[in-house]
Amino acid sequence: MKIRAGAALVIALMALVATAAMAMASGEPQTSEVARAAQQETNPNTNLGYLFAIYAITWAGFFAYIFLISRRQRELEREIKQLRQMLEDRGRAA
Amino acid sequence: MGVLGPIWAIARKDLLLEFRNRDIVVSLLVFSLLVLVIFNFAVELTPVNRFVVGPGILWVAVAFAGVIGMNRAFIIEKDRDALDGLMLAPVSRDTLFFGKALGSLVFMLIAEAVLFPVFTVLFDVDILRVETAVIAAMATFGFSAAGTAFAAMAVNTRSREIMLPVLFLPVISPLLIAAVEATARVAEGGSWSDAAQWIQLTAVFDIVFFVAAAVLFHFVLED
Amino acid sequence: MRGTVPGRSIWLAANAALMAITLWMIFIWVPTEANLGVIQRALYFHVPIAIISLVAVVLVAIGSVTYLVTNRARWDWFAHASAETGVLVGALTLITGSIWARPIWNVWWTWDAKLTTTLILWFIFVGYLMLRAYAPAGGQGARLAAIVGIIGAIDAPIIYFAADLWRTAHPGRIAGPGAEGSMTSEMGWTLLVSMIAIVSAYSYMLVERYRVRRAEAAVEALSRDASLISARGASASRADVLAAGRV
Repeated sequence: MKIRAGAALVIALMALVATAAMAMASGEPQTSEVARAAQQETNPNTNLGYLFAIYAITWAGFFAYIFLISRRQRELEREIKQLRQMLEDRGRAA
Repeated sequence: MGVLGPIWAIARKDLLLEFRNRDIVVSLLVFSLLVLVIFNFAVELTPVNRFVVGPGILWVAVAFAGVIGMNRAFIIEKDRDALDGLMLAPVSRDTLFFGKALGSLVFMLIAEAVLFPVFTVLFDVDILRVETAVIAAMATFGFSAAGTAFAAMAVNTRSREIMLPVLFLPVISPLLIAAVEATARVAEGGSWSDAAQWIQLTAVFDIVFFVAAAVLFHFVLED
Repeated sequence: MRGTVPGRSIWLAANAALMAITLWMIFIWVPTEANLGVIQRALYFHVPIAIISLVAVVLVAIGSVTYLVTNRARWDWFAHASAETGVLVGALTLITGSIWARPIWNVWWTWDAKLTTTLILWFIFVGYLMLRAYAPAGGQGARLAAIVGIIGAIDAPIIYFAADLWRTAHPGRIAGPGAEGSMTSEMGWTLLVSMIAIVSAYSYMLVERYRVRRAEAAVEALSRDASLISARGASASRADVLAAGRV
């Protein structure tokens, strides 16, 4: 059941993204003359640093977030277990 | 009484209260005038840029002062537990919303009636025209409709003084852009048609946010 | 709860594998675009996360509307999870876009319609998260947040329209990435695979965040029960129970 809900979410997201991508593709922006001129002046090889920064930051963001939420999830699961245990003990004592 | 009776009763309550202690209008006005003066120091005005920069400063002053005024309008209700009393009144949540929004609209318009002439004097940009009055009224209408809903929300949170501007200012940014651009077109000596697309945008924002705020308002005050 | 763990581990591993394939395609397989040079390869990450940050706005609105209509907590959790992951992806979109703009447009930032809209929406949803932190716990906070979520989505097209009109009213600005007109089929495939990888990673974060939110609600409910019992049993104070739960 849970896996099916997750799969449905992924499929729904893919559909949404595909729709958005199609909408974006239909409204393709035109290249302005100024932008072209600016591009010709830049040396492609000097841009490598920027490129790596982009990928590193995206990766770091994803990793850090997944790490933080999975740690929080483990904490919460432990807390739930303790509370359940405590409730059971209390229930037996009462 | 009809439909308008209870709405007017709520707005009149705010206006009467205001008439006695002049809390909101005075703070609105003094604060917005101060913003004008401070910006005069921050931005070097020239005969060329005053038509571009001036309207921007004017609407920043209105927006900041409006945030303070609307916060005030709901903090007064909340701190004296008057909001609970209002909610017990045999009127719908919509009526409450329209009444409070009408009150805010009147306060802001009164403050603007003083602010605009002062702006004209200080910035040497003539905005005392029918076109600007219509633009200001339309923008203030959307401002008070959206602001009333957000102020009612912010007043229920901790650190409510910061919550209202944080939530409200990004949401009204299109209205601010439209008001600034429309005012600038008219101030430069343009006619209705020069500002038409910005006035249309203001109208769209007004309608969308009036409806949305009215529909969503009863979720704010549900208990 | 334990039964779902292997499934999620497989998903996480699949995400990592997909990301590795994507990176190989982006850095090695795909040819360099003629006009922009190597920096154009940033598009394969930037475009998917930019689209996702807009999709997140829609997801928050769907969760918020459904929550207000049905009053079921799970929709509120979903909206909250979408907003938080959306703010993260939105921040990454703004940062990567900015780094891309520096060598191409010669500025870190320009008030282009897309940039302006993304930034304003990002602020609205940061406000949403702040509201969630400051609002009273329980139903009222969730309702207030839902209203902000809905208003944010309603506002999005108006902001875009206003920013677009505003920018075109100021001529001389540099607009639009120049690369998109000259995409080869390899570039299209790379973008597609990257899109799938990032959507999958985003979905994983969304599901994980949702589970955290659900677990938080479970802790709240259990603490309430525990304090009720201790109040009756008088064997421990409420503070003791809460303290024990926090260890």
